[in-house]
Amino acid sequence: MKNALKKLWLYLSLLIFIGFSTTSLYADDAHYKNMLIGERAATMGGSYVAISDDSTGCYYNPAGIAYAVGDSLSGSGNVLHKMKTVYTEAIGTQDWIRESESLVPNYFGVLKKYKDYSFCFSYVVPEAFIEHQDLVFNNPLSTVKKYYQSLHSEDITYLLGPSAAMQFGDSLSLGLTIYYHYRSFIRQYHYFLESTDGSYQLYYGSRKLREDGVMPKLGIQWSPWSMLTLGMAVDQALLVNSSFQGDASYHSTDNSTGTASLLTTMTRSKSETKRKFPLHLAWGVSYFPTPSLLYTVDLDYYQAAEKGRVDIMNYSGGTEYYINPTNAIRFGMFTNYTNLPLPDSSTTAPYEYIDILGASFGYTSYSSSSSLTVGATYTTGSGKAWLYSGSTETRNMTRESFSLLFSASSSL
Amino acid sequence: MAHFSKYLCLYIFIFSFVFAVSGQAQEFRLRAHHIFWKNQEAGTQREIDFGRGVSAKILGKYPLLRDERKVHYISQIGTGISAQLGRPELRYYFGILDTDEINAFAVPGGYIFVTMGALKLMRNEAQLAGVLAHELSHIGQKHIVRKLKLQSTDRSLTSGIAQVLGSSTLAAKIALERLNDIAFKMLMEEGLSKEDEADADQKALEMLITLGYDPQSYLNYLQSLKPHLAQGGAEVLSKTHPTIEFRYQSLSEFISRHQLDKIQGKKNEKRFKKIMAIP
Repeated sequence: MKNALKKLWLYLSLLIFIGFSTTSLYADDAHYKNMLIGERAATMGGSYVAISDDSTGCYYNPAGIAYAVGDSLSGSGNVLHKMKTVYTEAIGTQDWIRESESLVPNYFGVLKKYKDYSFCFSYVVPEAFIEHQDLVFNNPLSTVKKYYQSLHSEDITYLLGPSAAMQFGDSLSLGLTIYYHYRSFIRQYHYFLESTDGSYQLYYGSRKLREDGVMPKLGIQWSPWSMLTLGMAVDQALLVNSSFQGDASYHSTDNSTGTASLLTTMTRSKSETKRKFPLHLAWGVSYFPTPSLLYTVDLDYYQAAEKGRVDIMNYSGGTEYYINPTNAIRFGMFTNYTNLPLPDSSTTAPYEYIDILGASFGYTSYSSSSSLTVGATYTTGSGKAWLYSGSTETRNMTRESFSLLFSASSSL
Repeated sequence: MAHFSKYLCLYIFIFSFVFAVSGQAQEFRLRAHHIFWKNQEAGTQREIDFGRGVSAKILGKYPLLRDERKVHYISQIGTGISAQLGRPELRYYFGILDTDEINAFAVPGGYIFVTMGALKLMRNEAQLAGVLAHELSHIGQKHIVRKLKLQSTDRSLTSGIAQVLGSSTLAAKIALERLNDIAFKMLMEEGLSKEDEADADQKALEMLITLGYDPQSYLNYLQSLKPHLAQGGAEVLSKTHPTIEFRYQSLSEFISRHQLDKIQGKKNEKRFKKIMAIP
């Protein structure tokens, strides 16, 4: 019985480690809408393809900046972006909780108009996961005295680049943004596992990844009837560089045979494999019944470019209402579906299948030449997680996130 | 989908040129705040244009003093006060009217006039600042603009006067001339309401205190007007303003209510007398 339990905890601990380290190369590449960008856009669920008439349009649909009212400078920051993922009874009977917290300004844009042309330069952070964890599990199993893990991880994607748009007549515009894509990922992971018979495991690993690439985005906007706009945008990121290095050292003792045996290994791995990004097509419809009210709906289609991914469609919609001419409120909802295929009986770890729904709300105060926006986004979802490598065993998981948005714009 | 993405550029090209000729202008995109601030800007411009016409009428009645040093001095004091008004969209102009009559005028759009008679009655810079602050308050609070309904922020409520000011037709020009006459008459004969005058006095006192001037000096100036009003030396002032007793009483209550009676400030008597060439 003792040996059976010993095997179990060794098995579990090793699988947790393997499973965890494999999935953590990307913070969350199974979802495409983890952070909403901009002030109006973010507070309307990210539904902005048929509006995009300010510098945020460079990111959503560059054609829309052709209809910007004037030159402007805007910046926004997620004052606080918190994400919490809970894996139920992942370690013995105890839940495993992963929390990410970031304070990253996620948008800056400057827009300049010249006759029928509009030019923009923008900086966007569409993904930012910053995770710092120190977890201690005391007696998770009868033969495990202590399990401790420490994780420090930062995974941030930056987009930076110019946009240009041109009007054709009163109702049609075309726009192009060319973003430089830069992603920096660094992760340090350490765990210590001590059994009741005095044997232990020690692991330390570090991973670094850098990606460089370009992401062109082409957009079009058309207004077929008064008060109605249609928009479409297409983009796909292409990597020109991807360099990964992973280092790991592992040390353990095994007292199960009565004689302590030691195991020490150290490994280094490198890779230059470039991941492939999906083709992203976005369609939007916006209806402007009065200067104080608008409704907008977007569809975001992602065509999978890698094996093990599926095409998905995300939906978003929002509304904007002016309480009075200088104060506006907005509300939006959106989906953030997983791009992983539906699991079946042969699905093994590492695998997480979770669909997410989100809602956003915001308030903007306008002065003659500037605006100030505060808003919040909440997302929630539940699904299944395959945590133990090689095992079909699942755990229930839930994910929640909350972002506080603070944004300011000024006309130039 | 692969077929679609392969020919995407072609589809966009066809889409663009087939529909470029149709569709609607984008005025409907303007949001409520765009329209509001656009109207505000237009309203300010109307106010400036109107004020220019009324100022011309005042200068037709009283000659402008050509003393650069004195004008520069009151402009400096007035500009400092105007920074507190909260109307940065206006540029303020200060002038001295070469008449012994005692008065000061605030004209919409940022035009302020003080008579030489009033300047001679003053004893220090705090009193000058008080008078300028009083007149600037009329502009800051848009007392005349509101009385004449020069501004409107809602298109549906746009007054006839505002339309006149926004038009360039002959009829509109005649109507504008008539409007200038009404405003001139208001400044010279009818005056503003007692409430507006009391409000301007209180705002003036607040600004004096903020700028570190002696508030009591302004009350002393009001008191010094009394004999001149009785002797007819300030005929227009007596017609267009409430009695000195009312203004003094109103200010005294304001001072008492806000416990401002112990505040003392600068008077700059020496500088004032030197520039105004008062022995």
